[in-house]
Amino acid sequence: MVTELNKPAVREMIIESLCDVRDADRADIDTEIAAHENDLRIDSKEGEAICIDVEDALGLGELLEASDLKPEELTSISSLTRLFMGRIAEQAVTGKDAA
Amino acid sequence: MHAITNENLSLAWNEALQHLIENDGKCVHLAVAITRPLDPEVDAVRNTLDQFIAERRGADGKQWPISTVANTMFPGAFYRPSRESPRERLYELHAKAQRMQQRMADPESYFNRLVAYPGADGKPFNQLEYIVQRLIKQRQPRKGGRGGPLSSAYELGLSVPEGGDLRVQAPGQDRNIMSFPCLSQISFTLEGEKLNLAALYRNQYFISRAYGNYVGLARIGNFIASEVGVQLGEILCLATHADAEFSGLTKGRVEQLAHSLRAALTPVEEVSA
Repeated sequence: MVTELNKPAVREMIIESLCDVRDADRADIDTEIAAHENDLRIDSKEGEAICIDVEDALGLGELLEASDLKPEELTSISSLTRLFMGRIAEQAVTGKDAA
Repeated sequence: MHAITNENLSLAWNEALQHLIENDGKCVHLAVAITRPLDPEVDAVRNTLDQFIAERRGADGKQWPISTVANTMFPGAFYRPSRESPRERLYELHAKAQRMQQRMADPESYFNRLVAYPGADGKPFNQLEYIVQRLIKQRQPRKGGRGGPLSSAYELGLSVPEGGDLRVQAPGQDRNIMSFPCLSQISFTLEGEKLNLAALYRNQYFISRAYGNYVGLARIGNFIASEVGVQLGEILCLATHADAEFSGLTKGRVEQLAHSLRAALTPVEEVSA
């Protein structure tokens, strides 16, 4: 489980997973991201696989819910990052309430 | 019965839609043959349809982009023939994505039926892998050097998926006639070095599904042909009942879509003349 759940850390996990899903070199993906205004369009199926990787890496259980799985939510690095950050924030609040 | 043949996937779909609209939005036994299914799509057709769908994508989320419909049949992004062990990687990545799909109210997809058909013993059966292995084996010279591959060995019975077809409908499990799956079966016929594909739909929604279905079928055909080492030939899609969705989208809107498609396909010189 990661200790620092800030936006850059989550974004980094997403990009690493994208490299794995595409069997692509990190440098190539970084070049593509840079060429697309610091974001990258991805296929919604790639997005689903990435979500599983990131959830596993975070170690916070099943963060995403059925309502998150709209195809348009899963089709860019920025939208995936936003999705995870929202759920992480919600869980943090829920966790504090429970405590 | 009505049959349409066109080289291009986009144009075949458009022709079928225009026929449906001229016939009150419905057709029994609509057969659409696409003779060059891997040729580039016509952007004007795809973009017009995708925009129409996006404008009507309501809270129920039942209208999906073409890419999503195609992905339910074959997740194209997971298959890269040039990578090492492309089939294994495809199945592996699908299994990962399927873990996310399991959170949906209805987690089943066509592709999952192709790679994890619910077997009688409860174990999932990978029909795609079975078909690929079977075709590879069948293409090898027969004993004694007699004859070549069996062209119609992939047209077998309906009762079990272990034949030569890809089966989607699962008897005893798919009991609701109004829901999944509308695609019943996919058959393959080897003709020399060409693999032809035929799909049977018991019902096909022409606005919200058919175009994505064609894209998905082309991907399935391309996958099997690539893995077996042959070319993809023709795709035949037979809808025993085709529906232009007048009841859900209204006849006026569907006619407007058809008009937009005709306009998008009209050469510029004709418009200006």
